[in-house]
Amino acid sequence: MENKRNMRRIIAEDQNWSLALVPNLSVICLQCIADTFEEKQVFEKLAPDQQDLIQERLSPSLPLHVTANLVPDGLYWRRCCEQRWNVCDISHYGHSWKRMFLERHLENAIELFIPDVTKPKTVLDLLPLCKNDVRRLNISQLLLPVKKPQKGKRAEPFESAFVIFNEEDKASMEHFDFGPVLEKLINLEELHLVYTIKQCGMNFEWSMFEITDRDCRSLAMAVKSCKTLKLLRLRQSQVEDEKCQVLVRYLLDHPSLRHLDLSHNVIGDGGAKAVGELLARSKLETLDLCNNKISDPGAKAIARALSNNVTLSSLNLRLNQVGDGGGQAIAEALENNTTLSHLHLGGNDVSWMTAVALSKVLLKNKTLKSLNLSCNNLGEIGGKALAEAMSQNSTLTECDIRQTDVDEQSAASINAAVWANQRAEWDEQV
Amino acid sequence: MEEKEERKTRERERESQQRRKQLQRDQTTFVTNTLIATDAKAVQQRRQQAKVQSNRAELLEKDITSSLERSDEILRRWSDISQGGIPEDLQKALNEQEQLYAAIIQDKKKIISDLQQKLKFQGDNYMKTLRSNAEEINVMTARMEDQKELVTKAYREELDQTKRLYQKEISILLTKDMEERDRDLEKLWKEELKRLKKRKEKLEEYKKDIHQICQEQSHTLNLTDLEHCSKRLTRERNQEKEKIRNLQLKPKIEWYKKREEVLLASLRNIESRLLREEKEMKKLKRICADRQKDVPKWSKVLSADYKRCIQKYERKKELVRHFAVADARRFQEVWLMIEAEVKQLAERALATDSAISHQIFGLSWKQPDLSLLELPSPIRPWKPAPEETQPVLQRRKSSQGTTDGSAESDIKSSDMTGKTEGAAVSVGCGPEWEEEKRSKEMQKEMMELLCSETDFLMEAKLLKLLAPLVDEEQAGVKLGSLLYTLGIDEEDLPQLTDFLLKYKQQQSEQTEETPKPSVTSSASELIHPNLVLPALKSFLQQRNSKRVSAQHLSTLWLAHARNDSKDAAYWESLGNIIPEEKVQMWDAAEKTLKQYHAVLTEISDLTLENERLMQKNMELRVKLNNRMKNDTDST
Repeated sequence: MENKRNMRRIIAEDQNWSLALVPNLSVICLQCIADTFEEKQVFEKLAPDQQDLIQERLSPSLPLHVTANLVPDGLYWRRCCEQRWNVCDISHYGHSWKRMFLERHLENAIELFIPDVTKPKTVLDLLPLCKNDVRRLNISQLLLPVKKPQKGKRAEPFESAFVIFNEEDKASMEHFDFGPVLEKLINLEELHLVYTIKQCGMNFEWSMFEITDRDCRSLAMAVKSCKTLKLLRLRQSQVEDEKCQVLVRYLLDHPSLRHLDLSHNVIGDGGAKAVGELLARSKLETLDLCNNKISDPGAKAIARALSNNVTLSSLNLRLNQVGDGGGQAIAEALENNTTLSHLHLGGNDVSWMTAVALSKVLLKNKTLKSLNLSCNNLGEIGGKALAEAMSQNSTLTECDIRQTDVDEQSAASINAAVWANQRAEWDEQV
Repeated sequence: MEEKEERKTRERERESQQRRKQLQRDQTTFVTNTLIATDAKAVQQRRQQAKVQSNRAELLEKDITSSLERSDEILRRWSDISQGGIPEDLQKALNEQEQLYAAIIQDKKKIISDLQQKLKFQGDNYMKTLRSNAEEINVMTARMEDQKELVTKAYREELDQTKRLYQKEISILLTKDMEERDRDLEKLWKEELKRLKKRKEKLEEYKKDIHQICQEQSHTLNLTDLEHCSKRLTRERNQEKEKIRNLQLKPKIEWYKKREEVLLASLRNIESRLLREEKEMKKLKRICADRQKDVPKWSKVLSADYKRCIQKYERKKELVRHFAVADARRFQEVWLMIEAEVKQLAERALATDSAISHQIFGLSWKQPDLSLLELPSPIRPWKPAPEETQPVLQRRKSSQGTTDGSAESDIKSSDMTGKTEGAAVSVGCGPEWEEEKRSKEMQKEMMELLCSETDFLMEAKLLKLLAPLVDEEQAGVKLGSLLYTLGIDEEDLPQLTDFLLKYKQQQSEQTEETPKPSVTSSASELIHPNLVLPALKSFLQQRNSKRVSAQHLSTLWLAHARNDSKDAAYWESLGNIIPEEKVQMWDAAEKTLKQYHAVLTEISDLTLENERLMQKNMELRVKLNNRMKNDTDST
């Protein structure tokens, strides 16, 4: 067959003309389809290999409403991503180029959204296109509405570099409203929010870096309406105890939320108490309250919740000021708890008393695997107590006692015990 | 052994894993170290801030209390002043109050400047921390890079080591297994080889046996032996089978089975072939016996046939000779007849010519040269060629003479009786007796002469041997050998003598001077000894040529009897007795004669017509007369 075809070749007069250079008719047709894709979409009727060819040839600049629901994950989306961003780590997006593109596209749209300036349509139009693919929203900045400094409103004067917009209505003095967005995104699982501005320049205002009451309320309502959300991360947004209470009130009895991260805020004891309430009425598995100015009372509230909780597996109270009271309360709570496996009490002003209390826990508790007591003043007594407890414990595989003034001997024995436990664990795994 | 190995490998695996984990932990500890350092710093900062704050609070509180005291004092003084006093005192008090105020203000100012200074200091501090943080971050990143490299290196080493270890292990295992396999294979091969050798030997044995059996069978049809052998073979085979089965080597068994089958087949083949060959042999033997019986009969028949054939051949020869003679005679007769006829025709032609010339041309006919007619005919009356045919004829004559008219005797018998020729001739031909006798004597002498002259032809050895013998005997033996060497039969001796004599005569005629030898003269007179050799030579030559030509007797007959070179000319001359001009003349004459003849025939035709017309005329005249007569009568 091949030979015959070769024999029947027509030799062109032009010596440079080569059959290899002339594309097949089918290829030309596909090229045509790809070129006119915007006007007429022929894709699903094609054979898989032809679809691949189309994906290869489609222009990445095609409007999203044409391609989003038609072209499946594949080469086309990869080309789109690579054309737009330098760094494309697909492993963070479930190895789906389309998801990556749509998520980042949406994030971009939200991050550049200026309330009252940008039309809400620009974002809302995207939602039906990417509602199926977006699983995570990682918002790294939220802009504020523009306001004239002459107005004298000290609270939110902001001069945008782009547009100067005169807005007097106080009701609009807030960030982007997530309500309609979260409502539409039916597959959203993670929401990472930071109420900050990336490059404020010389227009610094404290209000640029904090969440407002209204924001908080609208966000809380939005999150409540989003029944698929598993993770909520709200960092560095100056969430105070009242705002936290508002937020938590809406999050109570959320059906799917498993992970709450409010680190680097200022929820204080009030917020901690609210979170303690949340712990009792939700199925949270991970709670991160790092650097939140929680002191004795707040810690005690959390400890109370912890003693009755059966879902939480990780608690992070790093860089708070729970003190010995809070520490001892948590330790006592752990005596009853059988689910918590990671506890971080680093930088919490706890002393040997907490250490002793924890060492008692370590003798009984079989679930705790990781304990971090770094940057506390445990002293020799605490160290010895822990070392003694560790010699009997066989489950703890991480115990951080750096910067705690523990004597070297105890530290060494603790480390050795931890090391032995680790090995045992690996052996089990193997 | 294996368990041990396994345990070893497992341990090794665990070790490497632990090492890896250690590396990982090292890495993470480095990171967490930084984290914790920052944490610690943060805590410290917090503490410092708290301290500073408390200091400030204290300072402010002190200031508040002191200012309160002062204000109390001022207020008290004011009340003192308001109670009245001298203006000077008042002035003084006012000044004091002013001073106090100034002091308070100064204090406040001082505090403010303090605070401002502190603020500035804090700001500087903050900047410093920021800077140091940045520096630290840089250092950290650098260290992280280093660490990363180190760790990757470590990982790589670990990987290499693990790889090497595994490779080593694998190679060791492989080599061990290979060796084992090789050993096993070798063992197996050896066994196999041994078995094969045994088999081969057995095969050879069987072959020998079979061969033997074959031989035996070919002679005695010993089937039982073969059966026995086959039984033995089967037994052996069974044994082999069992052996092979015991070995439990399936492919080998199959192979052997195949071999067995092949052997069985070959055995069966051999058996059948044996039977076949035996039968064949029997048949052949019978045929041979039959043939042997037939042989004498056949030979008799064949010899009779042979004799008959020879006789036939002789007859044919005779016939050929006879026909040759008859043909020659007939040829001559025909020749003569045709010659006569031709001559007659020539004469007629001449006569015609003369008549023509006489009558037509009126010329005097000149008699042409008639000598042509008298021309001697090239043929002579038949006479056999003297040299060649004479002896044969002579012999024929003589043989005829011997048998005295008895019809024909074959040449063979005549040859057989050739020895008695001399006597027969002498008996048959009385008048030749004298001559014959003389020839006999002459022959003897001649032979002696020949012998002495042709000594050189004989072998020296023979001569030596003959030396002691008597002359006569010597001559006889010599003659025998001589004749043998020359290829002359004894019967040809008389011919030889005749030839020699004639030769001598010829020589003498040529020379004319040599005196005619007397009949009774000695041998030397019979022929000159010097002439003996050339004579002998020529004789042999003639004889040889005769021998060759004898086969084609009939052709020779004519060839030698006739010389047809002149025949053509002869006949030509006879044909051209009337010359060409004359023929032309005749042709012309014929032509004119023909014309003349045509004219003559025309004339004769005309005369005939004339006559007829005349007759008609006459008849018409008669009729007219009659009419006229009748008319007159009627009228």
